[in-house]
Amino acid sequence: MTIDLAQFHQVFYEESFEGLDVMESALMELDPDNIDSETINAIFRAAHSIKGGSATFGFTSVSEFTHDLETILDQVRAGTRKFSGDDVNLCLKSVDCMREMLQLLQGGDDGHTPLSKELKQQFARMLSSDTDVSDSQESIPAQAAELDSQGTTLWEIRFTPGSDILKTGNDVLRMLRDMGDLGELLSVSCTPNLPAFNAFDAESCYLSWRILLESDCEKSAIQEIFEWVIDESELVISETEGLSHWKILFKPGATILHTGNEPLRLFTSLAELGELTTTAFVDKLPRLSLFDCENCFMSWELSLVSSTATKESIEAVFEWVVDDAELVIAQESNSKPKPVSDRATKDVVQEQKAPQAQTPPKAQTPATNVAAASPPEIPQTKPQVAAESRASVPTAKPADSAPKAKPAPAKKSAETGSIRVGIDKVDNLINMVGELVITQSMLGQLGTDFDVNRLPKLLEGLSQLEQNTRELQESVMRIRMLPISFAFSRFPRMVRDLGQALGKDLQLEMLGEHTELDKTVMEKIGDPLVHLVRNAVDHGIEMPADRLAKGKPANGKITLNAYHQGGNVVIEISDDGKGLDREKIVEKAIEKNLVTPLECETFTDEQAYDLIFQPGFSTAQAVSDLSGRGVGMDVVKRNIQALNGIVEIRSTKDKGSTITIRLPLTLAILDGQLVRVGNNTYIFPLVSIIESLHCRREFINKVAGGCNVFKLRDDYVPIIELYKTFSVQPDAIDMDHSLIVVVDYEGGKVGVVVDELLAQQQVVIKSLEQNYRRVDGISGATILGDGTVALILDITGIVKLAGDKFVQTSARARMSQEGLQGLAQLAS
Amino acid sequence: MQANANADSAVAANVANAGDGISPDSHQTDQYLTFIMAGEEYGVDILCVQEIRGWESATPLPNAPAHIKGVINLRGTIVPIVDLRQCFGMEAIDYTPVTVVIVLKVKSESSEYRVMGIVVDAVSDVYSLGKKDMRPPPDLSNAVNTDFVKGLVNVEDKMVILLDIDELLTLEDVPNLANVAKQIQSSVG
Repeated sequence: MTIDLAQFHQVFYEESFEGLDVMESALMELDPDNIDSETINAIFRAAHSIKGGSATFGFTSVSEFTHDLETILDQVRAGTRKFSGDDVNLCLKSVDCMREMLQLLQGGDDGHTPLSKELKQQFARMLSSDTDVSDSQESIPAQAAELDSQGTTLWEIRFTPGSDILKTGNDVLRMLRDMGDLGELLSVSCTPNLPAFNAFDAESCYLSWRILLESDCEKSAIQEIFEWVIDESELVISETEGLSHWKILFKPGATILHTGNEPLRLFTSLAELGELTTTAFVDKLPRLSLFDCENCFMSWELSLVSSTATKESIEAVFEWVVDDAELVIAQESNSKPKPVSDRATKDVVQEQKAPQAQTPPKAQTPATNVAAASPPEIPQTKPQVAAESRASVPTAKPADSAPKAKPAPAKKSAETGSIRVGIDKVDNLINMVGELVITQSMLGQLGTDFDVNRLPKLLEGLSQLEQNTRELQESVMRIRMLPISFAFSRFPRMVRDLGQALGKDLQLEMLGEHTELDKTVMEKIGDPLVHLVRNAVDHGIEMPADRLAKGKPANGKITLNAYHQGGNVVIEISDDGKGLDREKIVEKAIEKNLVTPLECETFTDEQAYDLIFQPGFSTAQAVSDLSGRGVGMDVVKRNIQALNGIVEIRSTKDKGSTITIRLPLTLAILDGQLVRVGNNTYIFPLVSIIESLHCRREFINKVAGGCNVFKLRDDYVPIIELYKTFSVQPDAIDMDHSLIVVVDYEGGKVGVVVDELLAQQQVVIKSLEQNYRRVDGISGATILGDGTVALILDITGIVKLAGDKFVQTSARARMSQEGLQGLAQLAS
Repeated sequence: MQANANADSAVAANVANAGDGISPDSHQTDQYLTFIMAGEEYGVDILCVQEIRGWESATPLPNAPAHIKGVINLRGTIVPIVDLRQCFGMEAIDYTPVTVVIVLKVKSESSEYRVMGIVVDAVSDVYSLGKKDMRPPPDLSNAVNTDFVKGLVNVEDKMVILLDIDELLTLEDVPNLANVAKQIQSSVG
């Protein structure tokens, strides 16, 4: 049976990308001066999983790369390596690099990138220099010394796996084989710890091993083989000193058995001297017809590792048979130096060892050879330049983030994938479906033999059904909700990198990271957010010197804040930088023929700032000398509007700017208040409603000849007559019989006149744009219980529409007094 | 469903007389569903026809052009309904229970399907037509926008105006085309 591993690739990618996120955030948390073992372990584990996964799927480019990174991390973890800020940078770069490699792999590429080669070389240098460090320090000096003098070490490994080891898919045989790749396995003994036969469980492992390994490898290389099983096993690796290793070739004569000697007994007594391994040769065995069971046709090669055995003691064992057999006894220990030990420099040793420790062992690539030989600067700068030239956005970008732009298509394909949901949410769903099924069966039973007496029972069942449905719906919706930290998590890294690249001292504060937002909204808001944060760092925050000159602290502060407000999620990106320069923006806008100088004079500050959202406001050069935020703000605005969101700018010169994004919580569902105007049913988003009250004519006043305001306690609220705005026929034009729904409009209040308030219910939002197009004043449609379509009102749109109508009406009224009919025509 | 069955039988019936009045050497044939409006016969590619329904009241959209009758719920999808008569600037007639709505489904540029219903007087027939039978729409200069007219076909001495559904669906506001058919007819002669 063959298994198509490709079916697991998607999961691997997802987990790896998650792992990379973990590594990245952990690296950001890491304080090089005071390394927290938990954090470094988290990084190591993530790297290790990625390495293991990529090796399993044969993505050698990633596994090799990660291996080096892991080696460094392991040294940090073990305390044999100091971690500097530069090292953190290097690790962060590797995270980027791995992400890119994985994206390339996803796109069918082999995953080698210029950056990966460059980083690999840096790793190689770090690792080689590290040997010196660990030599001079403590750690494994004995072994290192031995490395120099003799080249090989005899390791004793006691390995007692947990009984469940086989169930986890680990194979001891494979580990032994891997160990065989490290050097010579001298002795493998299995100590039986078998239970009684009837208690035997074929899936459990009852064996343990004592292994003697003669190798030039380091302890870590052996540890690595057991990396996957270390948690569930006992593993003792020790260096055996003073042990001699004997090789015995024993070829008894054919008649040895006649003399009453038994090879087995000989071996048993040999085993008393030390650790014994036997290899039997049966090449002398005759054909079966010629076989004489009285004769011995076998020979053995024995390997004895012992601290006590001397040549004499071994010879003593064979004393009785020595005349009748061929016997060669030779001491093997340290007698076959590996080629490595001849090499002079430790660098080369290290170079050779890195690939050797991998599974499967791979020939050293030419690239690493070059790395060791050539001066560090040359390979380092070349990919850097390439990366920079690829960056198309004119803002200063750290070089390492530039390659991210390239594999965008691959990323896109990944996004279509899946969603990870907390198990509690799924459990909750299952529970609810269970209840729903119970309710259903109860109703079903009622339905089979129903009489009027059981009506209360039916009603009870129906209300239970309603409850179940509602809860189920809520839980299903909750599946799609993710904390906004998913979108925020990239910013600490980004701000740090940008700060370093631009030489600015930055501080990032993130608030409300637990605010939940629909996944689809989250995915779409990511890029605009990146853009805005980048702009804030790039254009908003001044250089430290400038800041000090202005009397501000040298370090600039960027604040990301997310919170719920009504039915919206509000995301604020603030900086305490120089703020927007109105004059320059207006100047630029006039220069680009976006506005006329005359128009500008009447602009409020807000209108002026809004200009930067105009398409074509900025071009490549225009931004650098402008204090504003130029690049692609029109794209930001368009993306946010596509999500039915609003973006606003507040800014004070030298105090900073705040960009506020208001987004709907979810794109799919809302709590609605149904209202009736004439024959039409409309839906208000419940969250936007402040109160509803009866209209009283005496409280209504006209302002400036057209717009009505309603006296609401001490407040005057402008009134919108929905029937006018939408050109529909109401019950009565008479205000006294109408209702006013007071809604929240951008912080203020607006009253909307309707004929009747109907039920409140959750409605599923259906798009009008899908088959038709956007309709002013309408944010979507929904289907009511009777199957008809009802329209969901967009408050902002209605206010705007009413404003337009008012202007039109008054203009129209002045001209011809045509009134409402004329207005309807005008609209159509 | 009933209407669908009718359409199917019409297809079957037409396969038998597909040769009538149609050049036999045209191998490439498309099938068109035709319908009647104000005595004129119009055709749409039958592959675009999702279903044929009776008229049911639609939810009007505020401030929509007169030819947009509103939206209906078609098994969970919001579908706009267009009165093709009004769309073409013809006189509107009262809807009756036998008024027909043809639901069209077209793959739009964004690679998603757009669905739209058109209200017509009656469904007529299904024809198999070769590409060669089709004549380009006459150039009516700027008097009429004929973008959504795919071509003209003569079937049994009747003129059938084949509509380009893609264009019809994507037209933001179908221009006021008073008597499109009449004009075409007169220009064709």
